[in-house]
Amino acid sequence: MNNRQMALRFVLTAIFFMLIMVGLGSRLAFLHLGPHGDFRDNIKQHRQFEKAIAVRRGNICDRGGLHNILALDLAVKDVCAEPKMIVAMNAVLDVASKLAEYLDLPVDEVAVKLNRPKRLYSRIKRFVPADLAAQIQAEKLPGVFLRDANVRYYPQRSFMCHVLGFVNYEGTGSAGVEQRMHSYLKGSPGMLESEVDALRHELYLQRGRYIPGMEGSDVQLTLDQNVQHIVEKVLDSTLEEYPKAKGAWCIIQRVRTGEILAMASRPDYDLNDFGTTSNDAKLNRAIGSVYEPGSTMKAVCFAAVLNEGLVTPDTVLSCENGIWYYKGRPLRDSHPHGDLTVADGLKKSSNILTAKLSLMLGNERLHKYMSDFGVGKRLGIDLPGEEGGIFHPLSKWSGISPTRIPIGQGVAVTALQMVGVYATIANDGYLMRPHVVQRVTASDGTVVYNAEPQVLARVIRPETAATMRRLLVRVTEDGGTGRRGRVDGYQVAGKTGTAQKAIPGGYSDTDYVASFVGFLPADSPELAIIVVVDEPQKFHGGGKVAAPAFSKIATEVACCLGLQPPSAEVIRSNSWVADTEPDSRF
Amino acid sequence: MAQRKKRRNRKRRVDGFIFPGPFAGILVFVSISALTYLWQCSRCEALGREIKTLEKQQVELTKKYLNEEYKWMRLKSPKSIEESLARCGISMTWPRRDQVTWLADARIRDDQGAQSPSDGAMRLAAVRRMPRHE
Repeated sequence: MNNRQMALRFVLTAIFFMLIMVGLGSRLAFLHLGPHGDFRDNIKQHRQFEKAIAVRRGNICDRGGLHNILALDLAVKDVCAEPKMIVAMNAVLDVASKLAEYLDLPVDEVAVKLNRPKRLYSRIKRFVPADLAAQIQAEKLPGVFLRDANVRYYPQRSFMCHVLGFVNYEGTGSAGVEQRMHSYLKGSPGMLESEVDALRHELYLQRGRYIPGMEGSDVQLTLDQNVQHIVEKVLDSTLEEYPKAKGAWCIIQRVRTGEILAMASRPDYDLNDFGTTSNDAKLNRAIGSVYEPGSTMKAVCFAAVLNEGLVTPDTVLSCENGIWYYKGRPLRDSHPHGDLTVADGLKKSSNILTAKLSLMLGNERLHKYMSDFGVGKRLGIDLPGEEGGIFHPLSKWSGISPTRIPIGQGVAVTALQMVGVYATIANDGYLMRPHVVQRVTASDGTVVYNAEPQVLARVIRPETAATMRRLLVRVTEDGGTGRRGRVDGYQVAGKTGTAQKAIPGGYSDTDYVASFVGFLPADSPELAIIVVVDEPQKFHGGGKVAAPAFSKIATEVACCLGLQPPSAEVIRSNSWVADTEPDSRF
Repeated sequence: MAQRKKRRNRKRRVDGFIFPGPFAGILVFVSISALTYLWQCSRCEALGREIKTLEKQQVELTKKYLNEEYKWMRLKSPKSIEESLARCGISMTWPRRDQVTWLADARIRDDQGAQSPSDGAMRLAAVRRMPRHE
């Protein structure tokens, strides 16, 4: 073979391959650019996918931060089965008995779910913990498979349930902080647009759009889980002591800032099982239940007359020996008294003396002071379901209203409003907005919300507040109605309340609301506490039922928070103290 | 100067086809480019797979972490601790007043009114002795 032949052969081969390439190229170009748009779209549609990237809901923690998480998202599994396959393998009973054993379900219930020969899918149980799901998977039961799921979990179950609230099955906060802070907690889901191969595996190189999700922000509460635990424990023991009581609730508020340190309500419910709970148990009575406050309301009238300078604590008034007729209607004291000073009138909780003070004040001023103290209006706590109470406008007052309203009849309040009144007296006359959320921190560490103390009103002068504090301390001294509310080592200022429950046509003789509200230490107040017990039997007095609960709570909380007793010896000039971190609780 | 005439060497006769040099160069270049492209492509694929694996791993680890955190939170809740102490027969109470020494916070100067109600500062407490076990 000579050179010419070789060259010819090479050229022909090259041309041949070039023709093949041109042919293939033309076909490709034809397919890509030709008139087969539907065909191309169909293929593209099958290969492309778009999905939202779910993000974790933010945690809720107490004032200690992420060390004390109260609500978090948990990865769990749904246990599912393919009944058609199980029936075909004649393994219904075996599988049902195994699953029932692991999932703590009745065997017949599981068997009914599995014994459906035509069905390809059946969910046996939702939200099974990962550990248990792993055990089920290890059994390799035929036709049984697991599906990933996310669920909101509350590690301490019913603890702080009315404040935390819960998330419904659609992932929306439906009560408490979960509802109020939903926009912060939910985060923002991400987005992924990509393509898959024939085996439906993602082609990473074909990722078109990837927007990472932003996880939900963490919400830090003002509540302290140790303080809350003390409160819940005491409420439970109080209800054990008075088993016929319909409920009990308690709030602890920090007087200087309005921070809520604890809020508990009974009956309670398991947050992980909210679906089977009655609405009655879900009600946060501390902010959502209104009651006639009884004698605890007297402090408002006393503060008003002292602030107006109409009387002094030493002014003497007649208590009419226990019964006084005003506009033809009798008003009684629980114990008959002759003449009493204003100070003793509060200590002995005289209805008649309070009514006379109210008449000295006049309707307009009484109404104004009560409104300024927050009676009859929502205080704006950052929780859903706050009630405003019932406080009629002046135009609807009857002739005897000015003698009944100051003793807590014909007016209905929430425990939050009542503790607010006493916190105002403790706080030199400033009414603070109560709040339960301290801080919201985004997943990248940015603080997106930080609660600052907010003054709602200045109701009375600081001198009047100081006088009221001294008068309220006398209530817990010997001879006062609230002596069972004392706390060892601290001066307590407070007031008992025993209110008959309103029934159609008058007031019940058997059903009462017992309450005690106060603050401590009286000379340098830090905490205001209210305890309310609904329909206790057989005792029903605030001094007998609620004051001991107040005392137990205040004693333990004072120790827990390191509240300094005024008489304690303080060692100064400790060099190491300056180097320590500030107490995280305050 | 007369130009030297280039004469053909008649004795040196070579049989066969000589592959054209430039064409060979182009072929080599194309081959190397193609191989480089293939290598890069497979490397990207491998990295993609690795990223996806790590993504999965991260999700799994996050789930595991949350599960462990959940267990830990349940374990260290005040109620659980009380129950554990009760199981072990330990009863703890708060320290008595005479067991507590109160230390003034050195950051609050006396002239700022450390004792006044408006400072709003809780005092630091130090327990002189261990809490009484009853």
